[in-house]
Amino acid sequence: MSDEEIQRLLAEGIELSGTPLEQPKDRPDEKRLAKIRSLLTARLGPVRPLPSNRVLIGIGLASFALVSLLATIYGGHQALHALNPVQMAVYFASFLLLAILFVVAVLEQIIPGSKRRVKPGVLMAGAGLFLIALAPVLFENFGLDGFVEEGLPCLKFGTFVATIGGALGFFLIRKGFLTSPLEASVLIGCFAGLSGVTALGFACPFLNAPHILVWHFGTMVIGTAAGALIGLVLEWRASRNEN
Amino acid sequence: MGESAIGEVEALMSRYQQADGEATAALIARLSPQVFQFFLAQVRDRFQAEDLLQDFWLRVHKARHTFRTGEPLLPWVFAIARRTKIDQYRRTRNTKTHEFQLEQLPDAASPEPAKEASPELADLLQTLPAAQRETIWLLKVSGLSLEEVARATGSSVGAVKQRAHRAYEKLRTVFGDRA
Repeated sequence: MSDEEIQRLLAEGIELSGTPLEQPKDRPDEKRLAKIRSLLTARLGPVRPLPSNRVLIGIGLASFALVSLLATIYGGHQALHALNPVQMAVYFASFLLLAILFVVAVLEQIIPGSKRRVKPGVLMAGAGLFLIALAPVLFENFGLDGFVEEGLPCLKFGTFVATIGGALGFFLIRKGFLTSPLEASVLIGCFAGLSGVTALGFACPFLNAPHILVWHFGTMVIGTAAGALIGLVLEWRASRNEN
Repeated sequence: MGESAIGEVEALMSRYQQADGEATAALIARLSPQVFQFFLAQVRDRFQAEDLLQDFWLRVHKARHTFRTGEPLLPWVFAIARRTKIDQYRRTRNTKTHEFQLEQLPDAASPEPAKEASPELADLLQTLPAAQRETIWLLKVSGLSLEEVARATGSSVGAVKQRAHRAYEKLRTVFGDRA
């Protein structure tokens, strides 16, 4: 259905009842408006509007890079010696691309009335499927030797990095206004998980597909689940709080 | 609201961000009727709509730094209004879940009966599901464009078109039944 057709339908709707619909004329009570005025003017102070999207995207990406790279101080960067140039380029370019999309999606969540270019659900599902497809293509070793023993430390390290990334993410989104705390929290959780996956991409030298699929990408699953829980708490609090 | 009027409201918003008291009062006067109507259409209770309006303005005050000059104001305003309404709905639902009637309250304590925005329009819109009602209200009464409604509701233009289309299908049926 085209824009014109919708507009025609909307215009027709007014006439369908036979008589034009009466538009509402009620106004809020003047006393209430005076109260609102006094409430707001009593708290009035100058504020600096949020910077442009480019700056905010830059801050988001810098935070992501900072968390992932600082984690290598603790976790090391053994993977850089094990990855071949193609693996390295594709692996880290994929993380960077996903990070850009996540930053844009989070940004759209914290500025009311933003144009929605990235749907959170589609992004998270797409990122998951993409990474699941990427691992077996990029890493041809499918061995399961030491699967659990080598995997658990990776999951712990990834989750530790994701926790720091998530804390930073939640601190940054407090600067905005959440029109959907649940969606924003799930996104932040998943994005934090991606920072854990990226840190593991630098640190972990075990380059076999099952290990990466389960123990590295598992960080994103844990991050998303934690984000969802925090989001539910935020929604619950919002429905309890009276301003 | 015409284009120049919209630009004027956005200018008031910028001055509000700079802590201009006069602009704040003017902005409240300009936007409140429209937002109040939006709430009234959803809750159909004057007092509740006024409470929502006050809650909305307190949120606007907290979020005023998130408005950036050059961006359209109305989607920003209605996105916050929408969130206010969602939280109020959940709050009411929670209260109702935990409340139980002890006895009939005396008449004197009863709230004044709701004064509807417009019986004809409000009645018609009540036949629609909440999301469709909201979409039609924003498009038809508040005068937002499809793009602006998409921004305000955090959805795509396609989704807004679909909701509007479904709402009109339903309204056609209602009109048909009434004719």
